[in-house]
Amino acid sequence: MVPMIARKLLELVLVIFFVTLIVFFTFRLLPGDPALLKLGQDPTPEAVAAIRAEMGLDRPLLSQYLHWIGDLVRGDFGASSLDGKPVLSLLAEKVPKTLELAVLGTLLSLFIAIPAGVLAAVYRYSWVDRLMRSVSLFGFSVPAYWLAILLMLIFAYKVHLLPAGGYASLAENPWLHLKGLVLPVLTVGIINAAQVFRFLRSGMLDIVNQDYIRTARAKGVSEALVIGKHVARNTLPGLVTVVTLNFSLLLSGMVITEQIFAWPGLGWLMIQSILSRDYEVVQGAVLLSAVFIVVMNLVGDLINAMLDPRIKYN
Amino acid sequence: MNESLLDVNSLTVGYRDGSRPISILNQVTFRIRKGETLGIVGESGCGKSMTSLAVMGLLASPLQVQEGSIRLEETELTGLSAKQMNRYRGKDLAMIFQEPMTSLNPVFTIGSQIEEALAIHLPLSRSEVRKRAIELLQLVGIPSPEKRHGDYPHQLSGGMRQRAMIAIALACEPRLLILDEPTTALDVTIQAQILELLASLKEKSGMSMMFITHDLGVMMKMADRVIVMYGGRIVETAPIAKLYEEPLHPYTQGLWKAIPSADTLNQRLYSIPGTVPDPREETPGCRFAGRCPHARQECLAAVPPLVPMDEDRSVACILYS
Ligand SMILES: Nc1ncnc2c1ncn2[C@@H]1O[C@H](COP(=O)(O)OP(=O)(O)O)[C@@H](O)[C@H]1O
Ligand code: SF4
Ligand SMILES: [Mg+2]
Repeated sequence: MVPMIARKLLELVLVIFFVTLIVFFTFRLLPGDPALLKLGQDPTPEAVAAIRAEMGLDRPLLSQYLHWIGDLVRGDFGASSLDGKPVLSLLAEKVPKTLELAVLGTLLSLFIAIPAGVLAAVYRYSWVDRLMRSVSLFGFSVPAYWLAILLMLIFAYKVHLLPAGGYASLAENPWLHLKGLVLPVLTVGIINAAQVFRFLRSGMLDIVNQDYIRTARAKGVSEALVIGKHVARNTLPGLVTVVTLNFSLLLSGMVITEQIFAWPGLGWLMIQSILSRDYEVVQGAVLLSAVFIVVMNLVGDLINAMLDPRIKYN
Repeated sequence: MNESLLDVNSLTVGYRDGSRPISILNQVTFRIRKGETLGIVGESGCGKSMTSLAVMGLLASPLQVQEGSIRLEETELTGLSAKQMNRYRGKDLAMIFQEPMTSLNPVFTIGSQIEEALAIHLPLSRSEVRKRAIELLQLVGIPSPEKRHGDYPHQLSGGMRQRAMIAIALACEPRLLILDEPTTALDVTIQAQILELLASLKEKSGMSMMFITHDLGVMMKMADRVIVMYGGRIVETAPIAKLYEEPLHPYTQGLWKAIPSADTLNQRLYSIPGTVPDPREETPGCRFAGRCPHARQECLAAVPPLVPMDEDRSVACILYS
């Protein structure tokens, strides 16, 4: 277990290193000069040179990169070129909002998908299974923006039950905060539920046909325990992988959902700063997203190492 | 020794293909006496596994018993619900499968998989269950059973896993142990050890066995009486000695010719020409006619019935009727 964790941590550092390379050089290669952006219309060449020097843009790329990495290691993610706010505090302000959506959306998806997946696998090829598969196909094939707008039309414009979007602080206006959560959480939850359901159904059907399930039946294990113990226990590692992956993707990129519902999280921040060419903020946000993905992947692997005895030994 | 434990009568198993019923087993009739080992032999695809799964009530949909009866002493097993059948599975009836590598659940310890069988059927306390599981591991010849009890299947070799399977099957001292090619997946030396173990366990317990193999050589070591299956039917049944001395059915004769012996060792091994028919394809008359060296016109007229030749031998071939 310990060597595995060490190896995974090393992998994590390597992946993040590569991400910094990609992030840094992609943004340098993009057209558009952030110095010009800062200065507004028709700046004098002297002013441009001055601000480029101030931003370090006149130095060689490699030196800029090393400088940036050095700052990152010290916890300095730079500052927004719009208002000079430190990137780190901007991120720290957005992440909890995204986390809230991601956690609730994931919980909702499990709440829907686990019973549905188990039912579909137990009553495989029956009408129950067919019904659930059709419903899941809907959730699987609609784009997030479509579902988001549909929900908004129904619950905000037809029946005026919920706000169409926006964020109210939990401390100041808890009721409005909760109402604002409903539609984005539904959007994320429904789409993820469809994915988790499809994995669960096919995963369980695969396991139901394994030889060791026949062995369990030959022992006289009841059907409820065959499914609830033998099948479920073998489906769990795959489920953990799917859920942690989905969760990390939510953390790093609910761009569309947050945009539509004006939910000021990480995805929303990313779009805003791309539109305003706020390099430092975009870099910080992308880097943080990558870290989320890599860390969640590590978490999934560690959980599975505890769930599946075969993992520790290879 | 003469009392029946299992009576299988006119068993027909199959499924529906649209409106067409397909039969994989046809009119299979045999019995297993108390303390007896009945062998079932035949090439791959002849319906041996299907027979054993039908007895265990483990036919997977869409397969089902279409006709006939399976009686365990006084109890009719066909038509029992899954719940009722679970009282017999693992208790009176136990089964060992061909593939030791995939037949054990990879995420549970060997010990817990044995204990599960015990806990379902016997009124034992947790500590008694554990004690009995370790005894079983010892019984099937697994070294340092206390330690192996906590091992996962992937930590054991194929031979040791099959021993663990045997321990699971024997947990509740079944009256009938079904073994479906239990040594086919193992290499020769391990195979010999497992057969020896099974023979000695049988000796000690006095249980009955249904021993399935495609290998007549293995059958010689294990079986008292043998049924030979071809194309989902029984074509010959006899005590193993008679079957060896004088195989009657042309298919049985072919099976004997196909096993390697000292004088055929350096030659190309004989095999019966042709292949086992698919249950979906209908053929007139004797199922074996397409491959039989003695086949003639009359063989195609009707399926030859299984006819008794003497008190303990029957054969289904027009050469003997
Ligand atoms: N689930 C199934 N559905 C349809 N046909 C099957 C199924 N399982 C086995 N069969 C067919 O039944 C026949 C007998 O199979 P089986 O009992 O496994 O043979 P054996 O154990 O003697 O090798 C084969 O022709 C096989 O193709
Ligand atoms: S009935 Fe005819 S074809 Fe069938 S085994 Fe006998 S001789 Fe051969
Ligand atoms: Mg078989």
